[in-house]
Amino acid sequence: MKKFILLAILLLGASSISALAQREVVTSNYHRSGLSMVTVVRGDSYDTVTSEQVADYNPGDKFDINNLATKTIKISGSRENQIPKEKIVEAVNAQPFGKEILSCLFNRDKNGMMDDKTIRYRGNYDAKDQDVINARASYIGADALGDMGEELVDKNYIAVFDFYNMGKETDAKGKDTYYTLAEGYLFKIDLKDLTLDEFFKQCWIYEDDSAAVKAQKRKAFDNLDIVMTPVSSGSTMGQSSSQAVAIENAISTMFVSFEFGTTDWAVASTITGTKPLRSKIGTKENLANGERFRAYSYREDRNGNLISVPRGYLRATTVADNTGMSEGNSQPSEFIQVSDLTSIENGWTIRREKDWRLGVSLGYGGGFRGNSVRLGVDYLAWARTNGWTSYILTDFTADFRGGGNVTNVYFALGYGHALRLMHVLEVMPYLTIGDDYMGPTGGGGDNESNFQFLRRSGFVFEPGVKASVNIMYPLQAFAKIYYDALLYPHSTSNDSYDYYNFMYFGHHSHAGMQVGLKWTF
Amino acid sequence: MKQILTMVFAAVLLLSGFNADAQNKARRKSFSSWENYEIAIEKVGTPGTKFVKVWGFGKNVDAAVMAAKMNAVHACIFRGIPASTTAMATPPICSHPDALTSNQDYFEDFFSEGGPYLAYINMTTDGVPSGTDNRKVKGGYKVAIYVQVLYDNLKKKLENDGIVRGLSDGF
Repeated sequence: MKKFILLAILLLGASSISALAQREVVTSNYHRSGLSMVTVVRGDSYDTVTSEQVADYNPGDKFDINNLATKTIKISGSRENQIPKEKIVEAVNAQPFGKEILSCLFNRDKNGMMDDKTIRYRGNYDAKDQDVINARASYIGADALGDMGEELVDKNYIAVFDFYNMGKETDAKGKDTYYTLAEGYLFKIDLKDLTLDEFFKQCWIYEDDSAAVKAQKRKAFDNLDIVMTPVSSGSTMGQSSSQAVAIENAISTMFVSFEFGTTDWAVASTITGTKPLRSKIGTKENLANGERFRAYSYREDRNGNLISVPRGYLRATTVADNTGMSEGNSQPSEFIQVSDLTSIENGWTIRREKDWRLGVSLGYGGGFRGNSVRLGVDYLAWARTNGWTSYILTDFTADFRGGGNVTNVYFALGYGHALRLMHVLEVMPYLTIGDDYMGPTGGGGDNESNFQFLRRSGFVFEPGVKASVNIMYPLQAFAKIYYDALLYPHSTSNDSYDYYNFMYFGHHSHAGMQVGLKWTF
Repeated sequence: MKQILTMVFAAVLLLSGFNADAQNKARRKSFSSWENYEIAIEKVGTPGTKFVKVWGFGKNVDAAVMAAKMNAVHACIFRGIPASTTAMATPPICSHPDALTSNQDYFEDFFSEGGPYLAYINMTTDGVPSGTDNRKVKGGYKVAIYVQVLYDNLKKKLENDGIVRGLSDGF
């Protein structure tokens, strides 16, 4: 037993040391990625619409789009089910995607002739202000920026989409809803041991090369062994009244999923100013209002090893339009700090940590239905540099005092306008309007008429104030005070709100107070 | 009473003298051990300049930046700049190993706060040192900055001041 405990302690110790040793150092080195999108086709009637939607989809200014010759891969199989990942990987690597990407980057024509216009353009476009200033201080000047394009070659991806279980549903009112499930796979170019110098040496054809040398270099290009390695995947679904939009929705959600799992795509930069917090990123990096970043500072341990220290979170507020080549004086975007007592300082690194901007809260307190547990979901709609933040609020609860006979559910929708008083403290006046529905168990649904629905509903107007404080971000504690004003049509008929409320629940207008916890996703 | 006041005044003068002497000693000590910094050629600079990335240490970021500026000039004068993948090595302007100690008074003035050395550097870092170029270390901050050293002008200044011999001096 003693030996077992000692061994366990040793193993635990070893794993902690290993974890510490492997801790990633977060840096501000972010470079643009190249991307092309590919659709899995199956030889059925959905092939056209899916491949068209994928080809038309715009993933934003953040990517350099590679216009590859291969836009679809055919894998036979029923549209009912997804294609297994192994088959997708096999099919992708059966196509010369790696060589197509290099052909695209170096504008390779049918004779094997290449140029560096695209790669130099991309190097210039990727350059940051510091790169531009450095180039100006150097002997070769701005030409140095074009050379940076070569560093982008191994940052090229293809996104493969497989749509399945596609169809249409028509409801009782004759309204069509199209739906699709989708699997997405992200592949990254893997040059293996091939360096660019070797690539140029083996495959770059010069005008004055002899015909034999040209043929040899063309053959060398054809023989290149460049594979695509899967780096991320995701599952999603799309739904809409239009089939094209349903597919587009599925692609959009898939890109969010890819963003979560792809380190190369996590935009990183540094803080260039405080009060307000500023950083030189913007539309060129697909920055959007409310997007979440995390700050990092750096320290050295006693052996001189560099350690990145995670600091507070921040959200983008004002997004600068930095589209175009950097000229050394790019306008910065603005941010607001939303966690940590220590203020974020000039020079610290920030890296995007994408979230769904959703807060899920569970609270307990009184109100129109007495003490109860209430579930809330809020969506961060807009954040401003001056500390004001807009939220779309939902609130949900149910009352089970009706036994098996009567069901009561309450659902509210509202708006909150919060002011961040400190990094960790936010106070929000809000208003929700909710429907307190009471109906016979098993009743309701689509068959219920609007008149019946209104007769079984009470409406709750809830103005209130909510204060949230970070415990350990993204966990927050909150307290709110409010007044629930309950309004409903008076009718004593035995299928009305008035009747059920009197018989079972006793909901009434009342002031309330609630405390609870919130987690931000 | 007058005697007491005189004694207090004398004591204050004595103590401030000790303090200034101690500061001077510390400064001279740090001056002679001024070798512990990193410098690398960033790219080949424009004619007459050296474009380097240099590190400095200080109690705060501003002090570390000042130290880095001094280090850049110090390296050009006494240490030389090592070669990199993009540029050849740069030899020191003062190649004699005793150049610093034999001209200590001159260089103490040259590298004093706001001293003449500042005329030979041009900091090209965009804003404050940022990202991994800005590190908290024991006792302060270690930062890296990009600096353009006006190497030819610096060399001419030292030649004119008689610290180093110019190429034409032998003729």
